[in-house]
Amino acid sequence: MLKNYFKIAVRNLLKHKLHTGINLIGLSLGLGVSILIFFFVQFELSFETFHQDLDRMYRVKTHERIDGEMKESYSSPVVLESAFREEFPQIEAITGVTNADVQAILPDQSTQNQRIRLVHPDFLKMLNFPLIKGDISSQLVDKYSVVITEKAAKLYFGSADPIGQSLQLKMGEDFVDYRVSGLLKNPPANNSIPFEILMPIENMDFFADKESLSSWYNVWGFNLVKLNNPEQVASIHQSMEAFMKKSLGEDYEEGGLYFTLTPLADMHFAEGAGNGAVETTQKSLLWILSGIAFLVLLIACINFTTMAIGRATSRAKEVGVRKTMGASFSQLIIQFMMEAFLTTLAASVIGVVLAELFLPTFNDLFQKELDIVYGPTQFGILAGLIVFISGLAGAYPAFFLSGLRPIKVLKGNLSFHFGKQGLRKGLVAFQFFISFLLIATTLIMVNQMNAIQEYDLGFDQEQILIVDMPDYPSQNFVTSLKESFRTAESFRQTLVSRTEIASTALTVATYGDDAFWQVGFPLEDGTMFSFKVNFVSGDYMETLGMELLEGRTINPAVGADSSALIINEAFARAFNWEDPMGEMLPRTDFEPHQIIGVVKDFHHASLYQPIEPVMIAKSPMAVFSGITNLMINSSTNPKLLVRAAGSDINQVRSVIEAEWEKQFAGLPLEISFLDETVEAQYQSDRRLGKMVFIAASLAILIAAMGLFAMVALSIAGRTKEIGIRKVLGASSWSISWLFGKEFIVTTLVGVIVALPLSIYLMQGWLDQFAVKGWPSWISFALLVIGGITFTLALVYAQSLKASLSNPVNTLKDE
Amino acid sequence: MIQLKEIDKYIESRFQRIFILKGINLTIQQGEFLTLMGPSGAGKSTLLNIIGMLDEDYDGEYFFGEKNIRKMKDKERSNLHKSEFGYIFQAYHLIDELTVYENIETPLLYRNVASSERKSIIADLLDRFNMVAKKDLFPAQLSGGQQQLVGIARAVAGRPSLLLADEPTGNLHSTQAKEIMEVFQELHKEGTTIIQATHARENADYGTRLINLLDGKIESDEQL
Repeated sequence: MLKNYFKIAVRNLLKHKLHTGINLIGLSLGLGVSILIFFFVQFELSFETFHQDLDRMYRVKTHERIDGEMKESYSSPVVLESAFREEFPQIEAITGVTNADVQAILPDQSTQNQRIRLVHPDFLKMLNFPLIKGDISSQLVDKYSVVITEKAAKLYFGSADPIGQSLQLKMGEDFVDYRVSGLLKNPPANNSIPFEILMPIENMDFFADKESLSSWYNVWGFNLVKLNNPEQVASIHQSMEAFMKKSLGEDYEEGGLYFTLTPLADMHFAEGAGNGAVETTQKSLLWILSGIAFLVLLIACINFTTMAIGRATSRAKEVGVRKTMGASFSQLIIQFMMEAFLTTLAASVIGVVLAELFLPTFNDLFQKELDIVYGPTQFGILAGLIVFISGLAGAYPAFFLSGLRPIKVLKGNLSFHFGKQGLRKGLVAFQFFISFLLIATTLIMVNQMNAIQEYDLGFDQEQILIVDMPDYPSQNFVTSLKESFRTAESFRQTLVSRTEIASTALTVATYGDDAFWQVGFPLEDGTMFSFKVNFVSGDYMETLGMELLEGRTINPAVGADSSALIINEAFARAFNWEDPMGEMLPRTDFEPHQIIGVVKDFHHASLYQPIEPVMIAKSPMAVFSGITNLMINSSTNPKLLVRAAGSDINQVRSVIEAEWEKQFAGLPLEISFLDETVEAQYQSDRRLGKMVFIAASLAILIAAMGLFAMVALSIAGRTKEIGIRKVLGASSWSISWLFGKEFIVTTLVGVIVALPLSIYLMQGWLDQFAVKGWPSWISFALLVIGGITFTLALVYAQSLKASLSNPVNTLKDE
Repeated sequence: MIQLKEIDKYIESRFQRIFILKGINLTIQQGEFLTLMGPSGAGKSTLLNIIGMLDEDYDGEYFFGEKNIRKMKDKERSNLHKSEFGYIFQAYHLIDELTVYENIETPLLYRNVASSERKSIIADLLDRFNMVAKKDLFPAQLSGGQQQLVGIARAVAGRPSLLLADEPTGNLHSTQAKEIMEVFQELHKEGTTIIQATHARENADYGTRLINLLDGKIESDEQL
């Protein structure tokens, strides 16, 4: 019996090649996209699952009251590790995890930047990162030892046995020898804490003084905890207040600072982990992608359904005959479902191939390194998709056809009419609705992204190179800043006279990811005044083309203007200063300073954020003397901004490279473009926009193929009517209109519902921008007109062909 | 074998009932070869459909053997339908996507006949209707007469006790029609009860009983 079902299904599919082809293309595209997306979602959901006892592992979350507001963060103080270990017997293991980017010496004696993780020996005991060589009890015990992964071993020691070898890392101001004590397997891809080199956390003393390492208010990296059993979380949370009271002593304030444990399993989806310490993915991205995959699949399934109903007239006879021969309802259902199943099965094979083809583009788009592996889970997803789609696409036609009464369909001529036109039209309208929803969404997104790109930021971002200058590691922050600026300034001076370069300037913060440092001090009434600060050299405003409203810019001469400050309009507004040039900062502990100029407001952060009060200074001391709060949002080394004189950027680059070689031979040189850095802030939304655009294109393609088939079926069912109308004198155009008007209403309904909904949905997305660019009404109108023209073109092309055929042929027999 | 009592079939229109069949009383014995005749619209096909249990929308009583069809459960009726009835259509109604062999096989599949038995039944039928060489052809590759032969083979494959044929020769020319009627006659001799609806008087001559219908009523009923 099954063989018979199979046979007839295959023959039917082969007989109607156009419909089968359209279904196959649609379902394959839909499946290709879905396979990729669902595998990706599955991969993202699998993060951390390779750790044993994941249910009793946690990450410490810090809750701190700042300016009367509770702030949460996953960064926690280093001192927490030992304090927790002593205080809570429920804790089986605990480790701090901090990062440092240091220079390492390669076998060829050149240096490169290497990220290391500083951890407690418990790190390897609680997490599942297996050792290949070395004994676990002796790892991370000796301060001057490191554990490295296979990847790092290959880089630094080639094929030689790394154990016992020495690795030179620049800790603080000097290179220090570390002995390799263990070799780890490379961490799996679904690990949120990527690392290549682990070293004992005692080495933190190279980066911070004792005081800050033992401070409860100084956070570095994060802490991971493993409990004896998961029920103990509550007891730790309960005794937290008492613990804080004991630990903070006289600094204790009720609820001012405390810690909670959050499941390690959620780490991958935690927001605001920051600084690349933990690899994260927004959960909303997974939802949006899944939604897109579902919509594309839905459109393809609707094609299958509408075409199956459209062909019902010819299938009806078969149903009638089979029923008179004793076929039962359920037997017929199985037969029709078989067709849907076979089509889906074939489509899934093509879909897998398509997914492989889309993979590089997908990885590029989302900056992921997804690798399609076929394990039991993946086959499960695939099987689930096939069953789901067969059901979604095949169920309605199967039930509809199997329910036909033989007496109706076998009565002489098959001229019976379906009362199902409404449903078919509804489904097509729904396809249009989804397609237009995606297109309108794309339109809004593209428009917004263009608005951002063309928006005047208040400075000129074109033709500017950013050169990362060397850091000056020191336990004293101000010294570090001063010294690194001094070295950088001498490098800058060598470039000033070059004709290829229009101007240069040093800055500590550039324009990506809210890079300006956040500082603050309390006002007389006790409230905190927060603002942004940046440290720069002379020529800064000239290089960036900022507009000075009052006063003068910073004197580039070395040593000059050490107490000079420049503020923006927003800063002056915050204090209601009529004449800012004569004002002083309202606190006595600031060193003597002088406001020398007011710069026109510029967008120091991305366009997601409003413009805040900004202060620009040459010397850090003038600012640091009076502030009480500091949050550093970017790396602390100076960056050199180089504005090219001409359009030949490569020439400028080679000038910089030559000078670099003279002064910093052996140090890595990193050059980027300012406009790209600015642009990078919008990357995730741009990616989302691209994805929606791709989805919209696929949706339109599949829906258009479906419409094409529907029109063809509609015409095939009415060839006789066309013939009769022609004999009675109807023109080709009037016959085409007969079909055109049928589909135009469907299109219009889809568009009219989709437009307002897309505007409503996108409102939320646009709200995150400080600068919004709605598309004009003309663009929306063009979209509607375009949609209708597209439908009419599809319909007319086919119906004209049909109406041009000779009525003698269509009316002759039957 | 079949007993119809006061069968009425009508269409409800806005102001009146239009009767297609009115007050049909009919008894058919096992082994009869009955012909229904009458002009278009007389109710031949409707009566045939009611007897064939394809139409259940009528008033009156219908006994098949001892059983009242209208009081049967769905399952019972479906089983009776499968085991006792075979249908032949004017337009042949073969399944286009299946070969001759597979078309004949289909009713056997629905009756859950074992594979080896199916093979022997179909082989016999192909042999009997001289279609062995054509068993792998599709309906579109056959002439009308040949298609109707396949239709008959398919109808009798399940060994029904009653064969219903609605205008079996309506689409055929006279030579082919004659051939089909001879097959019917042969089946009748073997004991199959046959009821056919037809326009052609000459077809009635192969049967044993002729009923003339006019405007939904039995006008005459004669043994031949």
